[in-house]
Amino acid sequence: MSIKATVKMNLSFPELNLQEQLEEIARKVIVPDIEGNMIQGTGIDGVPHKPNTEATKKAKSRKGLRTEPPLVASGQLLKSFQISLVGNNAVSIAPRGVRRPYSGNKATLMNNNDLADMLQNQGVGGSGHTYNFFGISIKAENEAMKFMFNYIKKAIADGKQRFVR
Amino acid sequence: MANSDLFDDQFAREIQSMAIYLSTKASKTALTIREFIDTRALAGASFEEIEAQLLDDLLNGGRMFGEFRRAIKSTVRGSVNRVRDIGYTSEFEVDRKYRWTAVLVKTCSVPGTLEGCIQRHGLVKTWDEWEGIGLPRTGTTVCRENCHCVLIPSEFTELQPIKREAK
Repeated sequence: MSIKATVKMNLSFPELNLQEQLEEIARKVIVPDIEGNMIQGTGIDGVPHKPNTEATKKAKSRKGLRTEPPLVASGQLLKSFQISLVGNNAVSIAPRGVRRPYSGNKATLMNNNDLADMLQNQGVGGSGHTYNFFGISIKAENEAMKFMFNYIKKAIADGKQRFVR
Repeated sequence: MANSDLFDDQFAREIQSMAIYLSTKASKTALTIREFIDTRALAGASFEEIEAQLLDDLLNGGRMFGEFRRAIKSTVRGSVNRVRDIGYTSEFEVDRKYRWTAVLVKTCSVPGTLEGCIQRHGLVKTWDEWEGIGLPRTGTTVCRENCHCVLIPSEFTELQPIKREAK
């Protein structure tokens, strides 16, 4: 005796396309978290950034810029984070745009992505200090999980309405 | 040769870009959550069963949401470049072999830095082997979380160590 089994449809573990949810998480959770930390003057690890030196504050003040917190002067970097869909299954968040020179600034024009790289990875100032400001904090990770949890609950509730039994 | 030049070009642009990639491996035919719910409901599953399955998979990083959990994982202990690595491996799969490609920046002039990263440049190993030795930005090279080196699938063009100039 032989048994022949045919799997017709296996829906137990389908691939889920979560690009729409990832985009919403990027927009409502991750970018606001990065911006909020920058305004508070803390890194994504919750550690306060090294404050600007008095010399730096004076230089920024002369140019009409904010002197604190450390990463917010003209506000260009703070407002530069853009979200893009990548392919059909990914979302990217990146600082973008060419920086506008401000009064008295003779520095070479730089784009926000290069500036972010310099601040985060390469280091600035004589000490080569870096700022861990661009990434996903533990708080953002938890908020993203909560977002998806609530999304599923709502999707189920909507489904029940579609299928009136 | 034209394809490998194009890849080198795109790769060089890619590693110059600061970006967070949230990525899952879903194909074009993957279901949306709504489609999954509707399909299961039509097949006779109760909404309570469907909800329990989805939430259990989400909370335990199961087969449906495992990739999602990896995509949103905190990057606090490493630079955002590690998120790009995750983006690559979720695209190319961890079963492949990866080549260590050294990316040298000005901080690589610190004594000892080059020894670790240059020594690893060009070596090809599986993802598991690299995890055992130490992935970039996990503290196993002198540059620790500031390491810019990347792992790329071994079948792609072998690159010379990449030198990034200060802007």
